[in-house]
Amino acid sequence: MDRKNYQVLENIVLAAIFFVLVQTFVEDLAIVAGWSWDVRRILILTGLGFDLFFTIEFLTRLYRAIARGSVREYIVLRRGWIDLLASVPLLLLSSGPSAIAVLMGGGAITGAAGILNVLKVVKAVRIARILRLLRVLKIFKQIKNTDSAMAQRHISKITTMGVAVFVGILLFASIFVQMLGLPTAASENEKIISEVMIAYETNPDLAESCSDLLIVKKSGETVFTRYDNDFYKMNFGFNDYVYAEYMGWEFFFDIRGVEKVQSMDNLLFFVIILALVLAYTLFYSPHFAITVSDPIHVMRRGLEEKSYNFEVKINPEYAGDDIFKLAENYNNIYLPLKDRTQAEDLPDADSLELKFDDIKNMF
Amino acid sequence: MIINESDKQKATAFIQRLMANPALKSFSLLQREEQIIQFLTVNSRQLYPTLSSQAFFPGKSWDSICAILVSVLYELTDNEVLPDIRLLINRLDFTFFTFLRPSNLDEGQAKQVVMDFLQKMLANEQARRIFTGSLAAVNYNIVKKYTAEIYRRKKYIHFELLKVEKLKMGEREVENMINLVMLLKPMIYLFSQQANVMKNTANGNIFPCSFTETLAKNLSAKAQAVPPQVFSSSMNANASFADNSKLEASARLGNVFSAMCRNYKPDTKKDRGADTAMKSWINVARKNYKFYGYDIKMLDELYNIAADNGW
Repeated sequence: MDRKNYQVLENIVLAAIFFVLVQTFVEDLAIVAGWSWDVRRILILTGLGFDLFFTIEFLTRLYRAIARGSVREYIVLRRGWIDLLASVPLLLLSSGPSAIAVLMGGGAITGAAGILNVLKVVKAVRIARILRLLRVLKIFKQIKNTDSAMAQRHISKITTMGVAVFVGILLFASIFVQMLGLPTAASENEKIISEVMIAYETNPDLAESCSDLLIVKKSGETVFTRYDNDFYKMNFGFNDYVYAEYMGWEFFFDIRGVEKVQSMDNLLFFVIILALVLAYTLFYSPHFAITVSDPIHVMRRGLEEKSYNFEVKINPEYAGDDIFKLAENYNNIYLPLKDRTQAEDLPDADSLELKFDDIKNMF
Repeated sequence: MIINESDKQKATAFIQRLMANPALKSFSLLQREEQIIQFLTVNSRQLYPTLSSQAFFPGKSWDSICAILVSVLYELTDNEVLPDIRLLINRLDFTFFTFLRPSNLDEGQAKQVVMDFLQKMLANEQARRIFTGSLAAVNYNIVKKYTAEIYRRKKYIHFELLKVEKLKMGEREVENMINLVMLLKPMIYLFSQQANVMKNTANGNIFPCSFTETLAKNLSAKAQAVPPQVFSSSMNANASFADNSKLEASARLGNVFSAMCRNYKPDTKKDRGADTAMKSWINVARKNYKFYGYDIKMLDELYNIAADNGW
């Protein structure tokens, strides 16, 4: 593939990363804001599209790396592990099952409960959604905010560490909370649901006072419903309710409250990660450039190019740094020495702006 | 040098294409000329096989080819640079002559004398090289920028100009005088030989004061339309302050400014993390002041001016 086409594809990937971040934010915002199921269903399917795209992107890059014998370099050095974590697991554990649930009619609260197994899987692996936050790193990976390869590597390393540690802690914390059975909003809600179901047989009037109880059925017949079917169709997706049976009674409970809490958490995590990345990019990156890579760049040019005689600008605030002490020597010893040497030497090809290569096409 | 028409045409085409090379875009005419001459010297081995082929100058030695090319290069540069110099001299205000010498000023005659000198001077290769810096300094109004600050600060340089050199004139007159001193400075090469030189440097040779003073007297005798102080400063701008601590302040300043602008490119983009071109140049000059014969106190003040103004 020629360089131009490769660049076009890289730009498409960059645009996709930007849009998937917007999509991730809007998907959680839609839950918090209580947008209609139709909109949320579209967002779930869009998420599937993005996950498919990034899985293909990862597999293509991996294939290229295998073909070139540089798998380790891709996975470790070029951070292919981010490509992996932010694509395949999400497709298999998050958007894939969700989309299947949507396409199989899982959104219909009044429909058959035959797809409940799929829904259970989807709910069990919601933790995987946290991995979506790693995509912030993907966009950062594509942005080259400085010319210095060293600066880019340092900034991306510290950003990757910050974000990966944050996401990792969230992921493991969620797993531990589930494994240890610690109380969460979801488990507390399950407790309430159980209590309501047990109490319902002796006190059916409870249905009215329990605002989360949506529908009660007995032998397939609806004995209680809070809203009409159109309302359910419009506002409830497969993740918005739980279905349970007790002593021949079928119950449908509204769990949008729990969903909202989780989405609020997701939005908060998303904002924290964005803030982390922006802080590193907007504040740490210029600081690194001013105090490390820029003085090195100026000194390197001064050493390499005969006609380059700019001094390193030394900020008094950082004058004690080793790099600026070195720069001081460069300014006060090397440059004057270079100037004197050049003053006595005859010019050579390196000291000229016009190079022989510049005129090759003249002949 | 006599060049046949066919060779001249080929040389002109070749030089014009070199001059139009994008790598030389940011250079002034004389800087470009210097780059091309150095380019021809440095790349003679690679260029000779092509330039001695049938398409160019068959059967000629490299020295002959180079002489043809340089002669054409001078002609092409002169065609552009001489009208510019004439314009510049006409624009320069010579009324400061009246502050130096109480007599009626014939500005037209003085300008003609100066122009004649400059035209003669441009026939000399070494003088052309030194003139590059002088012309750039005048064209880019470097002296104007600094004299405004020197007059505002009223420190060492101001004292040296007004009290020691006794230039009892205003800021604008001093600026014009230093500009003229710089323009006439390379004239020394018309009369000097290597034996006269104290030290060769990239910013010009350093001559002994005895030589510069004698030459100034001779020039004054030849061209009386120009005050002797102007010739004295112009010639002493080629001497070392270490050799003579009584050198005129205008000579010392002219020496510094013309050297500073030798490779000056106003559009040079500095890298992030680098100091400005002027500040960098002055600081290096401060460290090498003995080598070049500059006045360190003057450089210190110029450095502070450049630093305070972000130049």
